[in-house]
Amino acid sequence: MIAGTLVAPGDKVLDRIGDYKMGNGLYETNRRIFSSIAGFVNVYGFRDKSDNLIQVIEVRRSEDQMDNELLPFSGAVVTAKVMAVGLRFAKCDIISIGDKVYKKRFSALLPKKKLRPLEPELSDPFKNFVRPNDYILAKVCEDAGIKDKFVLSIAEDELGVVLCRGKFGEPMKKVDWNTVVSTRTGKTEPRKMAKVPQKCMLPTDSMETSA
Amino acid sequence: MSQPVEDNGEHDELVRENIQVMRKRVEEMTRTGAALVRESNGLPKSGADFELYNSYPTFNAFMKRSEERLNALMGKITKSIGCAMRLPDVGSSIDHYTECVIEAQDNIAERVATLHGVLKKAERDTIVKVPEFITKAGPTNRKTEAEVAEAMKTFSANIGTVLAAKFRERREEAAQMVVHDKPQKTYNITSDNSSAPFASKLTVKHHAVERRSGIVLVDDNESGQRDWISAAAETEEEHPYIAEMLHFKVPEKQLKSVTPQKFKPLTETPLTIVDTKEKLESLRDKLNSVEEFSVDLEHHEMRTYLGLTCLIQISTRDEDFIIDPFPMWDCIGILNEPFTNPNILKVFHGSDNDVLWLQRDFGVHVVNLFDTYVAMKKLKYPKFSLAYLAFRFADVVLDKQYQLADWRARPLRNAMINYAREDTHYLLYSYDMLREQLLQQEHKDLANVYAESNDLCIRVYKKPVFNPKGYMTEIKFRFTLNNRQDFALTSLYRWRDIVARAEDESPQFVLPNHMLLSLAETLPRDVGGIYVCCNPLPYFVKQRTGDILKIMVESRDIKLEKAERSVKEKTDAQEARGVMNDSMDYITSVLKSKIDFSHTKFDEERGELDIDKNEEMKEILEKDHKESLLSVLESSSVAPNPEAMTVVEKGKKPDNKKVGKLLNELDKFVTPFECYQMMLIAKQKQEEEDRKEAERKRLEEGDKPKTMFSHHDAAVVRKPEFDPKLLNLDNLKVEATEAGEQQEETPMEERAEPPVFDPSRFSDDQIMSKKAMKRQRQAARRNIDVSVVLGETSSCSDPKKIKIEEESGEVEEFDYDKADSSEFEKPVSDPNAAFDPFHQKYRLKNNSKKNKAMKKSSNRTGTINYKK
Repeated sequence: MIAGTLVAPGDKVLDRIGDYKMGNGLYETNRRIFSSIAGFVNVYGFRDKSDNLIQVIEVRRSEDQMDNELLPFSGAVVTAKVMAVGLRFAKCDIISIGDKVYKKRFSALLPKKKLRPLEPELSDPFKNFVRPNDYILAKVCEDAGIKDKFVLSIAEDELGVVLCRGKFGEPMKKVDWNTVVSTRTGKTEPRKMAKVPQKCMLPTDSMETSA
Repeated sequence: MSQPVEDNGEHDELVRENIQVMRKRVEEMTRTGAALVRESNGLPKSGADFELYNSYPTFNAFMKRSEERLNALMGKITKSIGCAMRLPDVGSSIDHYTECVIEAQDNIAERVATLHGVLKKAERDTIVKVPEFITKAGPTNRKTEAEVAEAMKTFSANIGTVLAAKFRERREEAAQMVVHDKPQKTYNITSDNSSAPFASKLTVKHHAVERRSGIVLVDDNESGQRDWISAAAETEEEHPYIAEMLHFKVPEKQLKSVTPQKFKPLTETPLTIVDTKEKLESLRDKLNSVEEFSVDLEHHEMRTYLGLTCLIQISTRDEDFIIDPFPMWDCIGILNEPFTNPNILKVFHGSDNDVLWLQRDFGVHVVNLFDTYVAMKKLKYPKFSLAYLAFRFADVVLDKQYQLADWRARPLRNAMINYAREDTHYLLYSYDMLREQLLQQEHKDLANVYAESNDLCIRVYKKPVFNPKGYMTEIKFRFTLNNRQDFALTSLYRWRDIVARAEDESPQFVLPNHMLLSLAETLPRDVGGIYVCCNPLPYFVKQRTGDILKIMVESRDIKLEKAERSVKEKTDAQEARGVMNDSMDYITSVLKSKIDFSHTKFDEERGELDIDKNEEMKEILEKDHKESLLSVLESSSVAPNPEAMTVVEKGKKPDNKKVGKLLNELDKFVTPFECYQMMLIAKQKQEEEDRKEAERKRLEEGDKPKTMFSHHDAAVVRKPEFDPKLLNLDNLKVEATEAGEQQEETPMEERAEPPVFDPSRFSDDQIMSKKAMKRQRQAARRNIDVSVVLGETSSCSDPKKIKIEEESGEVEEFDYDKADSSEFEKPVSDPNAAFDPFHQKYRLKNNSKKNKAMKKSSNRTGTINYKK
């Protein structure tokens, strides 16, 4: 059994595919199977719809799926910045996928119906949830209508706005899960805050001016 | 002046036998045409002498006359072809002339092309017929121009009408072919639809003796020496002829190259319909004497559970046979003798099903098979159908319109018989040709084809096993099912199979897949809803609607629950989807490979790399450290030094202090995702605690009676109970008003002052007269403090009382914002007092206007709800 072996790119994993299905991290050349990434050979089985056992062989970097995916994948928790807000969508830029930060940002869409659980269409305007330049925690999900972009969802308690700035660039503080207050003017604004510990802070005003 | 030449093309089409004459005529025509051109060159030209000549009236008149004549001639010619041209006026410009002539020529060419196409089609297919007056362009000179134009118009329209006529014909044919009685019943053909394993129908094992005596037998294994006469002991695991198959050697003569023997034309080949036992026996003897024959089956599966062989076609080199198996169902088994004879070659096309059907219905097994389909695959033909085979070798276009016809129809129609015999008629010749080609290609290929065909024979018929979850692969879903729909689908699927087995019908006939799906999707509440889902209504659905309705009701009763998949399942499914989507095959693997082959010795044609074979066979673990990149991986475990990674502008010293500060700050900053992870951990802990708490509580409480109910709970039988509270006189009034209240909302329910004796056994209607009831109701209304009649204020019944009440309690407006909402969440202080929404106490206290308004609105909604 070769499962669990450490392989490097270009190492031959199998002489022939046999009954396995090709998973990720493998390529076939000359009818032999090679590894395309460095990692551990992993064999797992799953049952398809008619209860046939299918064995998949793959090479993965680690146990955690997060480490195996490079691009945002469906189900990944990402940090994104809201760039613009329209009537039905908010345009977002994915800054980091999990704890991985890339040089480039991925553009994504946050549809209105994915703002709140169990409420497909609502009359509340977008600004009650997110506003431009907010940093949000969101989950990448699949949407039937949008195929060409990553679709985000904040329809969970733990997802939503984590950081936001007011009109003058001052940090806003959380009052409750639906309201933030400006540290400068004391004005309250509605937001859908993520129910996470408020550990991350924006730099204070003094830092702001120097930066 | 080239019309005559053009004209030629059409004549050529029409009068094939006169080609020679026509050719001469064409030559003559070209000659005269050339002479004409020469002559016309002698005429004065415009721009030179023409104007001068034209001034002479005689010349002018002559020119006009000849022009008229020319026009008339052209008109006549084109008319006789059947497409009259637009004639230019006399004296019109030359441009106009040429335009008209070109137009006429185009028309003619177009018509020639279409007619040619139609005629070609008509040769192949007798049904498409071109109307006579179009093909026979001759008599058009008798027709008026309008008629010709009409004919032209109808010709284009006619293709549609011709097609329509064809369809009509087909429909009538189909109507004729409707089978009213199932042949299973008329001919008493029994089939075992139970889930018991298939028992071979083999009665006599032919050609087994030879093997025992050692003629065919190659090895000494005596395992085949069983008593073959008792076939009942045969199970479906083992093929009765397994030993013969394994030791089967292709006869030498079949591996040799022989000049192909052309088939006889259909008209010269005798056709025998075998429908009696005597004929069958003579057929068997005939087959025993030939060296090869081709076989094909016609099969029906809509109105049977297992399937039914309807026709067996057999062709030898000089004769065609069509066996109608229905009248002698149990006798077909005698054909086993020629079929299992290893010295007689059987040629099938696409035999994978045919072989099994023969086993299933007649217990006929096949030894020594050549499958033309396998051979075509081996020769890499562009198509693998029988029609293509016949077209390629026999140059015959098979009309496959009866392929899916209902072959149970008796008596067989001539067209169907013809179709059936054509299936096998050309097969032997095709086999010859294929064999020669295979021999040319490579000698091993022919042997391979035999080996593969042999593999097809070895297969044993197995009855279909019912898979309760088989619909997952059988039906394509457009949506995901919830657990109700899933239950309904599973039950319907099983029901369908049971009915199909009992009635000997295919499951598809009982309830087609799309109806099954729509039933499970909509879960109709009543019979009408079921009928809406199934259109056209299948016979068995109509007959057994009750069963379906029961399933629907059962599945509607199931509690809806959201199937939450575990994280692992989700990721697995996601990954699996990725795997299933891009199935790697030879080409995609090369196309998708991320490796740069441009510098390697990669042969793109073969898709192979030049790799040293010795190193190739090594496993990963043995691979040299130099070759594998693993050594790099292992050495890189040293933590990166931040200073080494700082990049500065040239000529500047790295400001270590600043870098350190920056790094420190970065360390301090908690990213949102880290917050999220913290949250997840906290949540998990919380869940764990909650779970423990719930468990502890459950253990503490033990089996206390249930106090909270939801509509998902099973219905409780409420027996009449004697309530001691009702005996309390103080409560009597309360109960009375309550009853009065309820009467507005639910008039059907009993409304009464609870009688002291046995309160729940009788309703008021039973024990009171109408008058008494009315009186009692009025009394109740007098006692009541809130009007219960919609739109009616209580003042009309007792103005004085209401005034006092209004003075006492109206002023205070209730401020909801200030109210302590936690009051609602507090448990009721007295656990024994059940909450009574109509309790007098609360009513008296908050009898403000607002309350009244609310009361009314609730009343209103109450009535609306009731009407619903």
